[in-house]
Amino acid sequence: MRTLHERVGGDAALEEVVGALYERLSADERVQHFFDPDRLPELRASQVRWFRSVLGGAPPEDRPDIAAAHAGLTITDDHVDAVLGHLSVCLHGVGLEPDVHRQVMALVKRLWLARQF
Amino acid sequence: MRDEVVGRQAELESITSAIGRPDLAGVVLIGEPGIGKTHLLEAALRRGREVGFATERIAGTRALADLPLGAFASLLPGRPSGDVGDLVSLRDELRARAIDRPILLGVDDAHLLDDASAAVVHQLACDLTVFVIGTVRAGVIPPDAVTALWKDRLADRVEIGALGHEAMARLVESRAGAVPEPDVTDAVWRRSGGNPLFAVELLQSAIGAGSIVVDGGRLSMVGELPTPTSVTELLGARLVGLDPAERSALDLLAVGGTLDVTVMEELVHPDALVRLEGLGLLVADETGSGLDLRFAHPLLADAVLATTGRLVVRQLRRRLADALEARGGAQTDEVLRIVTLRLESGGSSPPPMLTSGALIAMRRQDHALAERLARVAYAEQPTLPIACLIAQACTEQGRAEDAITALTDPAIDRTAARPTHRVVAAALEAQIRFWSLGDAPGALDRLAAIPPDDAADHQRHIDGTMAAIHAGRGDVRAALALTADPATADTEVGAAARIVASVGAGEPILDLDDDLLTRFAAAPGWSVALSAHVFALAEVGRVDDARSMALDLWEEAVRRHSPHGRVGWAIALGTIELTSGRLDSAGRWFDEAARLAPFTAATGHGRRWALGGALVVAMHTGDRDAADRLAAELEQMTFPGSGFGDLLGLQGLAWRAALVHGSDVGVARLEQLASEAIADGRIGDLVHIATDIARLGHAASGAALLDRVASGGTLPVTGDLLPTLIDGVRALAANDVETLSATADRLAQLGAGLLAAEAAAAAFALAEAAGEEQRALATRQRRAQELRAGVGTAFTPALAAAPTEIPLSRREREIATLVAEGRTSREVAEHLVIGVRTVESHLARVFRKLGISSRAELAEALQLGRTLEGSTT
Repeated sequence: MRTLHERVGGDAALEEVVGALYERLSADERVQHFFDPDRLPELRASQVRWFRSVLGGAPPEDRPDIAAAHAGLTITDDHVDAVLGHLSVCLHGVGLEPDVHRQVMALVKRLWLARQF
Repeated sequence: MRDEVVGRQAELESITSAIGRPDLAGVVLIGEPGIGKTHLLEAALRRGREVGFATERIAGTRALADLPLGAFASLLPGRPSGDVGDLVSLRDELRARAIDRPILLGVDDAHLLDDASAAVVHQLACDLTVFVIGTVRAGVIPPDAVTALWKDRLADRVEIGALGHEAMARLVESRAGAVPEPDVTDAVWRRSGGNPLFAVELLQSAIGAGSIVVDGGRLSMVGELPTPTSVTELLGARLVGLDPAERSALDLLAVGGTLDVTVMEELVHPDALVRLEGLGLLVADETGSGLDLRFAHPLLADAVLATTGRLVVRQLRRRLADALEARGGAQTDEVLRIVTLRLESGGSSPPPMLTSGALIAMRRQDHALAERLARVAYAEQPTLPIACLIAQACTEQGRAEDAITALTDPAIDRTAARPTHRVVAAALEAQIRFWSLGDAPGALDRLAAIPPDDAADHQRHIDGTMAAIHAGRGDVRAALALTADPATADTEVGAAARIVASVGAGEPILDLDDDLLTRFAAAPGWSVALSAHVFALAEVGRVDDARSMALDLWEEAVRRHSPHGRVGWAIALGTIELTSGRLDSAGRWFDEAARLAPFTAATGHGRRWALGGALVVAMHTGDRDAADRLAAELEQMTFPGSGFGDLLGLQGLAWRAALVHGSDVGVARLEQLASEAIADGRIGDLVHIATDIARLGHAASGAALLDRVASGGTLPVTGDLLPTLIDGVRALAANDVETLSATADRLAQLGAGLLAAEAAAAAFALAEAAGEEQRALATRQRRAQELRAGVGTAFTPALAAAPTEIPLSRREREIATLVAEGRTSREVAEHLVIGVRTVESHLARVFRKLGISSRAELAEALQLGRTLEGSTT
């Protein structure tokens, strides 16, 4: 069976999605303060690694520690909605099948909420 | 039951950590009755809701365990689901209710789920629609689809054990609102064995009986604990003293599983329900359309049923069925529940309701129930359409003879049936006779016996069915002749026949219009036509296109919960991966198909094909044990003819015969298959068989077979793959190294990895035997190694014939390794304390042996050699 990573279109598609995502995040007043312009390349690379692992394209130990990355940040539901909205648009941008798009979004949302338990 | 779960912090954390793992789609809580699984499940759902999940809850119940999708009744929209299928409407309903939030689906008592519900839960978890939190009673075997959750590593198992002494003290305190003296905790803990439900019931009953008393905020023992020794017995004690209305409500619930509150209110006084809720015996859950009632704990249902008389149960079922019908249930999918309840209560329903129920049961894959309902309807009205329904249900259960008996029953009044029904019944009988019983003459006779008056308006359908049988048994000439008329080819079965036949004939049809393809995709079950189209793509060398299309269709079949589709596409994918030399992947697909095939015994054909494919994989990877096992099962099967899909199994058996009895025996078998293919006009199959013969070391015989059908040296085949295979066989027979090398490259381009590797290996072996100059020979060896590395675990005679290790001396290897690490000749010379010239001359020999010309290529060439040595030892 194909992993979500493969169905999304592999690393090439992920790079594209994450690149577009950080462009939008940096331009969005609601959330841009979270993303230090000097660290963008590093953040992007880390985000790609996170997606790759979460979507089954790399083992769990390759996943960057999101908890550490978010430590000390005050993240509200509005921030989350903003980021997820941008992510959804960027995933559409690489022409995913609706079902794959839905699955990726469902997974990301679930993992986020799981951390709130 | 809204208090915190006591003493279960670690278990709750296991659940939440599972929800945070992207590789999981669920978690299953396993433990003995009363140990606190339901409680934990509810606590997890509650917390989930608090942090923003949408939550849903279903439960397996004894009452609904035999009703397909019974557990999902409250989530299924109250209208006929029709063509979209229940899974799709369920998914839509769940998503609509979740409003964009991720969903936690609680499945209490998953071991009691009916098979269809279990399959749906598995499916919803697989496609990430929900995260499942299930409970399963220890020591009980759940439905396969539930077990598959943890077997496939989709879900974690969390064992729920007994509470410790200290946790028991806290539990007692929280439930009694007073601090227990040590002897109270001790007694409760010992008697309950650490089982929380048992402990709580025991405590309440002891307080009620006055053997434990609350005094000044402390609990003390003043007498003996009550005697009951099981939870069910204790729960049973709570039922004593209920008034008749309350008791009747509980009885109804035990018989009905989960019930809508409006149905209950028609049958018992609403006040009784309110009182039962107050007593903590009933719980109401909100559903999309209203409120569903269920027992506060699943064990209460057992306690109620244990004390309800059988006659009462019969009467309650009838009342329940009447109430469901009174509110319009007969017009929706609920008709299945109504007719089932009536049957179980010894009553019956009118034949149209029974057949509606049977059709729903068929759609939900419960063919046994469908057959039962259809037979009851048939007893009252022996019509041809109902007989067809029975026949289909029997066939799905692998009972083809019974299906034929149903269709040929003299009690059927055929003259009253419409001509269309008579033709459909005849076609069905013919298909069952051929695909399930392997009786081609019987099948064709049945079609020929359709009276001309009936046939007049249905000739295309009849011709198409006939052609499919010809194509299936391998008579491609007859199939192509019957489908030459475009009108016939436009019927689904006609088109299927034409494609199957044309693949065999070596000239696959690829210009199917999208309309036809879409119609096939929408047809229930496995469509032979679509898979034939995929094979056609593979046959012309468009392996990647074929794989991608088959994967899409596989996922579609999974989404539609179509076992036929899953078997069909798993087989197609296995075959494609076999062609491309990805043997591990091919093996997995064939195993998957074989695993599913027993459940779709419609033909036996799927299983034969899957096992055949798995056997070929085993032969190609040198897995003797698997090959022996697979061959043993295949030898038991009858092959109705070397038709579509059977070739793989027969090839596999021939390969194994070659291994066990020597290549002459295997080749003789293949030659027999080739003669049959020639007689049937199956040129495509012939090319594959000739290729196999060449691969087993008898290239001359393979080439001779091809020449038998060639006119002017050419064979009537189209596309890219088959002509390339022909070139390969002939080049091998003629010791033509150059053509063979070119064939290897061409096959690699077409995605036929294993055959490419074998051709390259053979080219190298031939060139070496011919004493080719060393540098050219080394280049051929490098190419063979490269292609060999692409087919990992393959181990075939053709590959074994060509040595793949790199013939370097120890000194040469040492120097090559150092240079590959990026050192200069001078550094290497200093390191090894030898002259620079010596290094250079060793290096020149290394380059020649490896067939490379620069230091840059060295690392890769060495790496390739290591990979190969690792994989063949």
